[in-house]
Amino acid sequence: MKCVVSQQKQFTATGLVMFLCLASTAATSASYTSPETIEGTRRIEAEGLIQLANSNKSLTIIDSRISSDRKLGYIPGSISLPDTDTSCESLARLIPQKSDSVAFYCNGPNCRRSDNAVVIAVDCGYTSIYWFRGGIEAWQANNYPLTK
Amino acid sequence: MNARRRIKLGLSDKISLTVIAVGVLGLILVYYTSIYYRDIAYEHYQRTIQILAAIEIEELVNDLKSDTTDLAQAIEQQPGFLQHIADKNRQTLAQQLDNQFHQYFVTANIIDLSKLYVVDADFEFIAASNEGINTGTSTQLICPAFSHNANLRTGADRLQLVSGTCDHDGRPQFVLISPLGGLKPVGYVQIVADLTSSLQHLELALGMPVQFQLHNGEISYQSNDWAGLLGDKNHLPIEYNLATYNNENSVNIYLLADMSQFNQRVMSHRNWVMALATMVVAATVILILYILQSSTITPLSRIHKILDRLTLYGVTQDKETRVLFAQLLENIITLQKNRKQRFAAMILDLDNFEAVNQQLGHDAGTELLQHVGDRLSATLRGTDIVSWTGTDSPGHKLLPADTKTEYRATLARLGGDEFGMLLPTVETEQQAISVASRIIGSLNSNYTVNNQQVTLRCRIGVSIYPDHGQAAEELIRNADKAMFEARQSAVKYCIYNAKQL
Repeated sequence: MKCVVSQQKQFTATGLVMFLCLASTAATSASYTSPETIEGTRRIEAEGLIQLANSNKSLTIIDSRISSDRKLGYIPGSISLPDTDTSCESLARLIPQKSDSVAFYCNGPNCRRSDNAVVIAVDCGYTSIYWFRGGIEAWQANNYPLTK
Repeated sequence: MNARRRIKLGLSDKISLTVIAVGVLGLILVYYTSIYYRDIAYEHYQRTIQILAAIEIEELVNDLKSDTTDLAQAIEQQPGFLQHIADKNRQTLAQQLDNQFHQYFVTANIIDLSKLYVVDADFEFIAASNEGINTGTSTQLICPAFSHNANLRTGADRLQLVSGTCDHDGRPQFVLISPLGGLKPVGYVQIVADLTSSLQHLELALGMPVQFQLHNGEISYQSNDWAGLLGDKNHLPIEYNLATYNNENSVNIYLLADMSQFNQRVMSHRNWVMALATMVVAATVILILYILQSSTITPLSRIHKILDRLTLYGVTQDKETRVLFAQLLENIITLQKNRKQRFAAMILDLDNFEAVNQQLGHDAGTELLQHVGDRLSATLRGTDIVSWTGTDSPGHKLLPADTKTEYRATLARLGGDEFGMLLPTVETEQQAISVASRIIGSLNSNYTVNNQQVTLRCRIGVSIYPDHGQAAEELIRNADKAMFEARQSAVKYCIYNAKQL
């Protein structure tokens, strides 16, 4: 985005344009919302994740957030693998079979880390991918416990 | 029998008293209005503080929930804890629960722990802490309804944290049930903590003294300065009832709000308004008295003095009577000018009075005059010629009630056979004619004086203020002229400048 104005313009105009640029940048980052669905994945809610954990013994739950977020509390039994570290290799170390069930979550619909992670997992050829889009936000709203 | 003493008040006294009474009523109204509005403000403030207390309490309970959730984590993370549940290792579990009473959350005074329990996934009792409240039977849970209801849940709901308040032995307790062992719980820990200990933070959060009264009347906590401030008129007591989970028992939270600043403002405002009202009342009284004094009271008291000196009977100096009559008229003009009212002056001439005086003597003349006066009084009582300052005159109320004024007063003997009359409520010529006719009808008939029959013939000249003169002398002169006109035309009465009737 072009934010440079000529020096002949008034100072206030410069300030205004800069403000608009900053505001629009801020708006862009704040307005991010995950897509409703991601191809190749099954979307689940908090209740579904618990039912899945109880019925599917091989389920791996991956926390795609960075470690500082995880320190504030995570879903019991989940494994930390930030989206920035997610690759076919790192996934292979945690999930032996491509057909094994794996669930991803991050902080919530405004956090794009689980989106990134599931896209990578789809690309790596995993076939039983669950995407817990609601993440920590939905988990806490349902009064489920977090581990710290 | 009427022994009651009458206090006689003049008009100015009455008006002043009325204004002062209205003023006092106004002050009382200001006083009670301020009390009423203060009470409304108090009520409103009480409600606000109750809402604030509810918010703060919710906040404190949420903090307690968060702290007990952390405690549940700490319990779960003790070495081998989950395995001990699986093995139903009751002794060790009890020991591990007891440990918590000597660790961070209790020793740092974050949670006032009452009891800890561990149950299995089906809410079957496994172990309880030995520390905390002694419940008699170790398997007897505090607030059993919580674990009972928690066990009724199915599916994913069984993973949810359950919390709330309940009553145990009259004391409100906070209860948290937290699952143990991740998404597939192997059991639950039930934490029971004393709620009132946590609520003590309300004192700091709201910045006012608090007292917690349990439903059995026991005071579980009160601020140090509570007793000193209770009953202080600047501290408003506020009650908040905290219902527990079962809604049967509760804790009453009392707060004392410092209203001194508010009261100070109300008082200063009220005093200011009352001072202003007093000044307005005083100013109104002074103003009314001044207006009355200048416009009415002064001429009326002068009239009264003149009336006392005017005489109808007996021998008086003609000149003096004329002067007095003129002065009377002058003062009446002053009075009527303020009221913008018309009135009539009359000169009455008894044609043959002097002849009677000479024939029968002065005593007979005086007697005849008394008859004339009586007839005039009888004739004119219904109107107001003779009642200038009598009981039915509009002006009389302005003089003190005990003022004595004879009816003869406005009928003045100006000369040997000439009388002056003032008719304050006669405003038109028509009214003057009517009054003059009645006077003549009454006077022009037989009198019995010294056992002799005497007949009088009288004539009347009328002038009307302000049409026939603005000044007293002018009015008298014009009435005189009208009277002469009547005599010359041989008619009984004549109105100045008017055609002979």
